[in-house]
Amino acid sequence: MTLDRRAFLRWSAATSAAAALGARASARPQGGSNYRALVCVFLYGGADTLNLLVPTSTTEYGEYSSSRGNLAESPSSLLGINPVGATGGVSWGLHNRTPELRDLFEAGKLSFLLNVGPLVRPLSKAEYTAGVLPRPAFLFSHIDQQREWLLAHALGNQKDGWGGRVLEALPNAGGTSGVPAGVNLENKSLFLKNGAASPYTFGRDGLIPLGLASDPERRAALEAVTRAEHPLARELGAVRRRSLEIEDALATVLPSAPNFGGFPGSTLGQDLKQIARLISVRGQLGVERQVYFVGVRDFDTHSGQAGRLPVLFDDLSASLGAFQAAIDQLGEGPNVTGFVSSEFGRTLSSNGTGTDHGWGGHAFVFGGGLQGRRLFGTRPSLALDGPDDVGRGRLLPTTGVDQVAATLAKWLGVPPAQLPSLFPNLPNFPVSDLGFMG
Amino acid sequence: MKLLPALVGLAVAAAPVMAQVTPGLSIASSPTQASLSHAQGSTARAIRFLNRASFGATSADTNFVLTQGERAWLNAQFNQPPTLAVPILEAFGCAPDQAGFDVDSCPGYDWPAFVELRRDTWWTHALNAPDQLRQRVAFALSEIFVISDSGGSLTPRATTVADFHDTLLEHSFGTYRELLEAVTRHGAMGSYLSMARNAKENAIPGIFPDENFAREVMQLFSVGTRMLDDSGRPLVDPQGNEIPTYDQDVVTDMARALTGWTFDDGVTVPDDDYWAFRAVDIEAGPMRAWPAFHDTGAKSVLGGVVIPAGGTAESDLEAVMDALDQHPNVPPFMSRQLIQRLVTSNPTDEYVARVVRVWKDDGQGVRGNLEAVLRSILLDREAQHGHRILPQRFGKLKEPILMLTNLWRAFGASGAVTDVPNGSSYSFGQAPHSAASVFNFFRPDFQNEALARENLVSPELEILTEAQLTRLSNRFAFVIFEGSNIGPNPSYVDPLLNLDWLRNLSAIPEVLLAIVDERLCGGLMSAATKQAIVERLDTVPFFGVGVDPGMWRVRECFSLVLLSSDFALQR
Repeated sequence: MTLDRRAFLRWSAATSAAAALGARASARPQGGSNYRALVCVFLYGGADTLNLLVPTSTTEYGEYSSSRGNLAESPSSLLGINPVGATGGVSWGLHNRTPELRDLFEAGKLSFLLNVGPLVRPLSKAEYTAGVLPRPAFLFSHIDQQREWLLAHALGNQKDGWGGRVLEALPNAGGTSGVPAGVNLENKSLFLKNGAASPYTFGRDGLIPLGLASDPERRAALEAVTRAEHPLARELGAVRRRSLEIEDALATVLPSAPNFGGFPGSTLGQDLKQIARLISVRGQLGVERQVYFVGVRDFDTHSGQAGRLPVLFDDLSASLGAFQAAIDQLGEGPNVTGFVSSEFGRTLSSNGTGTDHGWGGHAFVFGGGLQGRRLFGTRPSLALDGPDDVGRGRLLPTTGVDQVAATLAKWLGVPPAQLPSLFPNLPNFPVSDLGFMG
Repeated sequence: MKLLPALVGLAVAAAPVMAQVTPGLSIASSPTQASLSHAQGSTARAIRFLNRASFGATSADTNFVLTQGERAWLNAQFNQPPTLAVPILEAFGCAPDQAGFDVDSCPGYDWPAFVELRRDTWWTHALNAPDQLRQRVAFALSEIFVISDSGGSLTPRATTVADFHDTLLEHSFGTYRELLEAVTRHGAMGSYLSMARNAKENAIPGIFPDENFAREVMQLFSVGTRMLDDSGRPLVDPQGNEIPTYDQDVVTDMARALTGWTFDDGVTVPDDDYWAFRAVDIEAGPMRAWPAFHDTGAKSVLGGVVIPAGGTAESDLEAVMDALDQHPNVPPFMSRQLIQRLVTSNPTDEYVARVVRVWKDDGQGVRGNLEAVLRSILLDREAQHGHRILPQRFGKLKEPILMLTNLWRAFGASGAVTDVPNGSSYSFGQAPHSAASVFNFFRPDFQNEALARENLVSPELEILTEAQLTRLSNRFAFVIFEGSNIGPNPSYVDPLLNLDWLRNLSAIPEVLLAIVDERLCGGLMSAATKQAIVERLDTVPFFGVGVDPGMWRVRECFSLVLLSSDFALQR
């Protein structure tokens, strides 16, 4: 850090204090007694979840290791888990860098959703190969499959993310604080995009006031110069004014939020820490429903996977473990559910030191309000050219994204009758509630 | 501690001396302009042109355009040799990843210092280099042909990243075909999208070719995923469905065709040892082929092109490059993105189609002549007159980095940049060659909820979030309050804005604002914004105890302009 960087930070800090003092107070109803929040953690790049949850029984492990070749996790390294219910004689283990996830699973606060992916409708391998029945467009492409996951309407015409659609269907989700019920961390997401209930993007470094706005007279001028007729400038100005308004709403309550310890210093850890702090002021904000989105990068492990994936899993596990501890500390365990997914799973087969873009993968949910310690869905065959392989070990999903989304939407309070209009492909699937939320 | 600022200074000594601007009594932005008695509109037009074609209009470049015209400025720029980054690293003592260098033979080599110097050099060249058009275009290309030192193998590889940047600079005005091959074969790309060390199926039992580069070179660097017409709109089949440009079989065969390449350290001789093939460490410069790991079977690649069996790694790569270059999507897919990076987020179909015609044939039968394409983009009537004929559509939000370079160049800041690069991702939400993924800082089709209803996109808006806009504005405030020659902070190390000459002019706020509007908003600031700023300036005392007259007004004026939506919009 240079001298001048320190000067910059000092300057920011000085103006921050001034801004906090000058913030406008507003009436705050007490609320939050009927609180529920969904936290979507999205693993950008296509996470190799086939190495996160691994079968350990002899036959199934043999299939796995033969398909994965040099990328197979060794059976002795895996962290054994004890799922509730019949497993058909199959035993399982988690990647050895995910002890927190193992602990959450064993404590009944985490369940896996096996082989989930975007689908227009259920599809057998024969139907896929025949190519007559509809399937998601542009399979195996990052951006397109992110769309399919985050819109939950494969081949459809939805433009809003499913998180945003759910919030729109929940009346008064955002309370009266002026803080939107949809909150992105650090980066915008398609997930929360919504024409009616715009989300807010909160910074990883917490609430940083606009220094120049601390002078109320200048602030009036600042707001005036954000007005523009050109649509692009107009939208930027709207972001500026929203930023100021939300900063006002949070400035009076957020400084009192706990400064949770135990979070890793990683981007994910810090993002989740901010989410926990925002959740801690749910009562002051009078908010009853919230949906958060946080993205994690770098899961596109085409090369060097054996070195990279453990680091990524280590961070994911430690961050989620710290987050659950913080939520439990707030006493909101049953009311906050995390959902972890990625745009696609990866090929079972190796390309040397990595894997390529696949389709189905394992997702998981965590929190204190779900049917934990379970494996939902259908265990895929991990044999190359097996019944679930559509090429090089790209797995044909057996559970649709829409089913997972509908289950979570219902938990958040969307009336079941409304689910098909939110998720137009849902009627194509045999069940709309996968049961993991009870 | 800063890296030999003197050395960086040497590198920029060749930069043109910025025209010294002195205070005047008229509202003309410089004495030269006044003496030439050009209409104010001409100056504003020149500034707007230069804000598209460079890192921001300086007084010197504005005067050049005013006296000799835009075409002459472009001609001069096309003849400027590139200001390269690697020589700066080499001059620092040792540049590993270059032939003849390696980390072991670099005494005292410290990669974080090199990464910092690489970033400083980018900013310093953006601000000062005489080959402005080339630097600006290379920045645009770096946002299409993305590599990144963020969180991957390239993180400590400053020389490799700088060499990739130089490769973009050297090919900015050549043909797309040459650029594409140079990018494809470069070690930085080989590392970033793992084409390097990619071997044929069963080179060791059970492995398949890596599909990473094969897929993204089509999706991002050439044709995109949907078939396009010549205005860049998706084509549809008779059922109204978009038509995929390629399928998984094409990706698979493209990956096979591109097997057998790895880094070239100038020492290791290719043989048939797979782990030796993989063991060559990352090197700048073109990769080399190891024949044993190339798949010599027949392939069916993009556009139905069949590569017959028996080819070499080199001949198959040439065939793939030709198949990409000749695909009908390339002209609209690439032209539209270049227009978006330089001129406007929402070009009309006609504008794209005009550029596409030049891409297909520059008039001499050459396809993808980037010099001709850039001329066509920058001199198009929509670029020149869009603010009048399409006032609700034409233009783009400035990328945060460009907001600062525009400000600095407009107001005479020059010299080595050494502080801003450290916090670039934090302050700007972007840092050159440091995107979070190959999908760049933002996507070309980003639209928020409201813009979606109007069928408009605004790529840059994707990173201008509530939180980021505040960080950016706090950085601007710091630059204005601490980083000008009006009472600079002694510890401020970046180039100082020359604002002192504006102090006296601020006695009449309208006079001050007219200058700032012309230079930072191309003279297109709205009447409402002007009125709000002038009313505010009227409340700020001209004289203050212990401060130079006008200081507070100048700072206030820049604060408001830089945070205005008018400044953020490039038109």
